Amino acid sequence: MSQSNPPFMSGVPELLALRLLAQQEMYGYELVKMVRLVSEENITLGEGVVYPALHSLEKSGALKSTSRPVNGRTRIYYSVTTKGHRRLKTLTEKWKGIRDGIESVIEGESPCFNLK
Amino acid sequence: MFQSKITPPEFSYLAEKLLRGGIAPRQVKRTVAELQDHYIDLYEEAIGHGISEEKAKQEAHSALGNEQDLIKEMLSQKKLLSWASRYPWAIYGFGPIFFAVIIASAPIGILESLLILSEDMTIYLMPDWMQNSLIQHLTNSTFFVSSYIIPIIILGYMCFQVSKRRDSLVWPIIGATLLCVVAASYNVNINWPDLPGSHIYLYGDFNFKTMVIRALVNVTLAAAFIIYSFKKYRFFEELTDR
Repeated sequence: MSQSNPPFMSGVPELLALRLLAQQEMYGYELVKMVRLVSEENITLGEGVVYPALHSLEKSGALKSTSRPVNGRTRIYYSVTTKGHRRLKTLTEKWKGIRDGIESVIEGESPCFNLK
Repeated sequence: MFQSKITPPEFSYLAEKLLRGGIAPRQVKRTVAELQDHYIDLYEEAIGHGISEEKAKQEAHSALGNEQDLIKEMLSQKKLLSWASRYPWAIYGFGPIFFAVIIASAPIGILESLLILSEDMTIYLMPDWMQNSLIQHLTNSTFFVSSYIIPIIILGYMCFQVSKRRDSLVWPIIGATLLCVVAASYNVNINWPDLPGSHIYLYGDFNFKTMVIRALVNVTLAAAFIIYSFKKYRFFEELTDR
């Protein structure tokens, strides 16, 4: 049984999807594989969970989709819109802030560690 | 990549849960199609690694993730909820009356235009008894279409949509009641060709007994749609949680 994403990871699928789709258009399976590859297996999403994120991003105008016949099957490819690029920029800045904050705590650089 | 011979799972439990959670049928259909395609890709990948068919199916299922997590994630995306589940009071409550007025206006408007265009000709071409008979038929037809046909079609379509989407019955019942009452509370008359101004006018007809009978006729005639829709989409079937 695949692991569920812990609550802290909410928003991560959105960020990863936008970042990778900004490079090239992909379909769901391809995107999940790319996430695993680029994150060096550090991030593994329940593969079906990528679709609610993709559909939600499409509904909000950040992504657009195209259907294409491939080997007798219909695949839906996603690509980032102009609005999606702006959203990606916002999310990236937000996550960089979170990453910096976590690093400060882990490395004990926060002034709070000196308070006794 | 070789052609897959596998038939993917139908995800019928997931589809049903999403519909009952308020996701639009078109969105559900698309999600299921994408999951099926993804499942085939996972299966083919596993087969390509030399794994047995049975094991490959299990791995594909496992990789896709727990259905409950998928359902929870999908239902948490408010943007994916249908308009009917977000605003049932507008779609099912007042929507039927709104659409009934719009739809009924079209034939009345066309008829009014025809009467205006034809009155000069017919005054001289038709004898009085024929004009009166024609007026009577036109009046009855307009009344019949706007009071019965249009409300029944709207009621039937609404039931079809409610059962297809597995929406709650509260607002559809309120909307259906309002529509039947409004449709039963007016009458139509046609004045033509002598009187100036508009030829067709609607007036309130608030005889309680007549209104009840007319409303019941609408509901009874729409009942066939109601029963068919609920049976087709197994509306009242209980879903066993996995």
